[in-house]
Amino acid sequence: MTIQSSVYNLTKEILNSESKPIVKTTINEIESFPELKIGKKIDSKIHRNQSARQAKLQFYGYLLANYKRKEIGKKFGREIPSLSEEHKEILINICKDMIYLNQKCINHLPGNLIHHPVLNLYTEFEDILSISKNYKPVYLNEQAIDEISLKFKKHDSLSLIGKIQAREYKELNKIEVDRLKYTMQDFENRIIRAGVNHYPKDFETLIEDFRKRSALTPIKYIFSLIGLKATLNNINQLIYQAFLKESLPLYNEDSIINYSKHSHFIGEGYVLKAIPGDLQGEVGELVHILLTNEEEVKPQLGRVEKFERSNSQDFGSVTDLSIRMLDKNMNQYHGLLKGVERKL
Amino acid sequence: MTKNLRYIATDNPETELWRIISKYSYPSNIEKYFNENDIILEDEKVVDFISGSILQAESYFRMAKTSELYIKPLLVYYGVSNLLAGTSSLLTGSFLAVKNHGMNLIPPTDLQEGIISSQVKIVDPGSGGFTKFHNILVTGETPPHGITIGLNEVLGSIPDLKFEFENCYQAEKSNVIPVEIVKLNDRTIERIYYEGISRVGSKEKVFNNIEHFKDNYLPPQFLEDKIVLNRKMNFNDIGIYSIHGRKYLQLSIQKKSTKIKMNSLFNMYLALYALGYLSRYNPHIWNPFVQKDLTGEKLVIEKFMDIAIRHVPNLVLNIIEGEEIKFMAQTDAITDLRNSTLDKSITKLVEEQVKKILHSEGRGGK
Repeated sequence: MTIQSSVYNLTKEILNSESKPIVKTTINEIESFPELKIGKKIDSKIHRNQSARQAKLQFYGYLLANYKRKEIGKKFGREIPSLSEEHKEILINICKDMIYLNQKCINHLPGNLIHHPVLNLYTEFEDILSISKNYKPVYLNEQAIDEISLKFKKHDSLSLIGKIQAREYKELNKIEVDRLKYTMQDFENRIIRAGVNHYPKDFETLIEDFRKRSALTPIKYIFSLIGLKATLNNINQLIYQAFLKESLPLYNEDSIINYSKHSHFIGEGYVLKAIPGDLQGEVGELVHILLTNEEEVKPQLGRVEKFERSNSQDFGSVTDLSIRMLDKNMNQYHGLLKGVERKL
Repeated sequence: MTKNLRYIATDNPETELWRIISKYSYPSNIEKYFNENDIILEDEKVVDFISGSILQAESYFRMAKTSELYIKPLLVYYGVSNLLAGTSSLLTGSFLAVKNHGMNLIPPTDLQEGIISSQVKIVDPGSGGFTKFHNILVTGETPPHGITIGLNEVLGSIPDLKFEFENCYQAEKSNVIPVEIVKLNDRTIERIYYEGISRVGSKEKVFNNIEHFKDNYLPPQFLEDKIVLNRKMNFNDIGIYSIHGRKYLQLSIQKKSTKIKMNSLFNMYLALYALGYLSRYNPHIWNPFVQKDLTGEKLVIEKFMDIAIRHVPNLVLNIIEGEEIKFMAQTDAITDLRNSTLDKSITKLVEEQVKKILHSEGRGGK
């Protein structure tokens, strides 16, 4: 079993669980608006919800947007209402469950490294979202979480970090947490800017420079952490989508017009053109791709990185997508580690 | 499988067409064809049979061209029969044991209903010409057998006759949908205008009656005035083409629980048989029709005869040569926008170029 299959097991349980309708209804109620009548002002909840979705932090985004509603309201010149206590409580519970799962995975990082917080995707409201030692998940199956954590321990990135000599930890710990967080974000932004079919040219030069100075360890370490963070984010996203939808958007020969497959220093991906469907996958969402002519028998999991829809009364509607494929560790940047290893 | 397209520019397509077909009336060319296509000659006399069939076919066609409608359908039918027989032998190197037409005519019972109410039953698959020729000349399609097909269904499936057919027979359904092919920079789409589908069926259901539609097209998009079709990745062209190269999608003919898609060549062959034998054995129906038609149906039949004379030999030549041969100055109905300077395309091209400069490219490929 891999990280991916263990997460699939959890999501299968979610799909049939009693908690799914509770969580789904909560989000639907938060997102619902009374029908607008002519002359009536736009419901100001829209700005809060848009911010929640744009945060790409799953359920946590709704809590974050609620927390920052005054700031958001100021920006749009509107009074933004708070979430109801009932909705807030359900969101807090599901977020705590996901934090619990994340923490169990993050704890596999060696204890004498100081950078555990860079993997924490949900960092604010430590007061309301703190997890006690004896925390029991409310909506997620504890056994399934344990299974995911067990598989996460075998993550390629953790194995690579495991190979770093303990005496080098002291040097690595000299990198401040915030500084490391910023660097990781910068690397990821540059990867995304390059697009699925390209990769930043200077990454290879960077590795080469560090290699010449026999100082590849920090690069290996940073790339490993980028991979771990990507995996955690994808686990959270798959759980989020399992609560809200019945299946993942599927791109196959019944929706794809054309595509190109790309494989390079960062990993693999597809740039494809498809017809819009009921489920189509927006930026940050996970989708399935099944291309039988690629000799794939099972749908492959990918993360949408670019999504553009164009509508024309002359040529119809199409969506252009860039999708980065996840490996068995649910990491879309798996090529980075191989790239560093190759240079070693 | 999509065939190679060959364009032959000419001011006189029929003369040029027969010039090429006549090549196969020469024994040396027939033998060369056998050698090039690894066809084993069963009997020396087959060469004379092919040569004679093609020469006779050409004569029938030439005579039909100038004859009156009283006998024209019969002459064209004989011409096509000779052409199909000769071609079948050319493709197999052997004689074909054809004993009859393989079709039975059921003439109209009520003349008020017009010539269009004639019917043809396809019979005798073992030795009937229709099935025997079909088996050899049409690959990948099983000839219909034992069914009765109406002349209305046959004529309604001919692309070049669509306008006249719909105009004359207000109560009849047409079986062909005109398609516009639009080549864009990033894909090729096909467009169908609602007026082209109005006499065919409801826009939501019509595609269910097109054989292999779902294998080759993504779900249609219904816009204000048209339907846009995107092709699937493993697209095979299932369209049929008019003489001038316009694409049409052909609906299957519904017969009880089975759907039959008539091959274009054999569709016309069947219509020619119906009209030829109606004129030959039912002059009491045919002659008054030719002399005193008040409905305009005669115009449809005349147009069909012109189409058959021009198109049937072309379809046969395509089979012989293994290519899609077009005799024309230029095609219509293909709008090529791949090189047009649409703003969005320019922006995209610039973006791609900038990316190429700033970033390295991965191994791409379909």
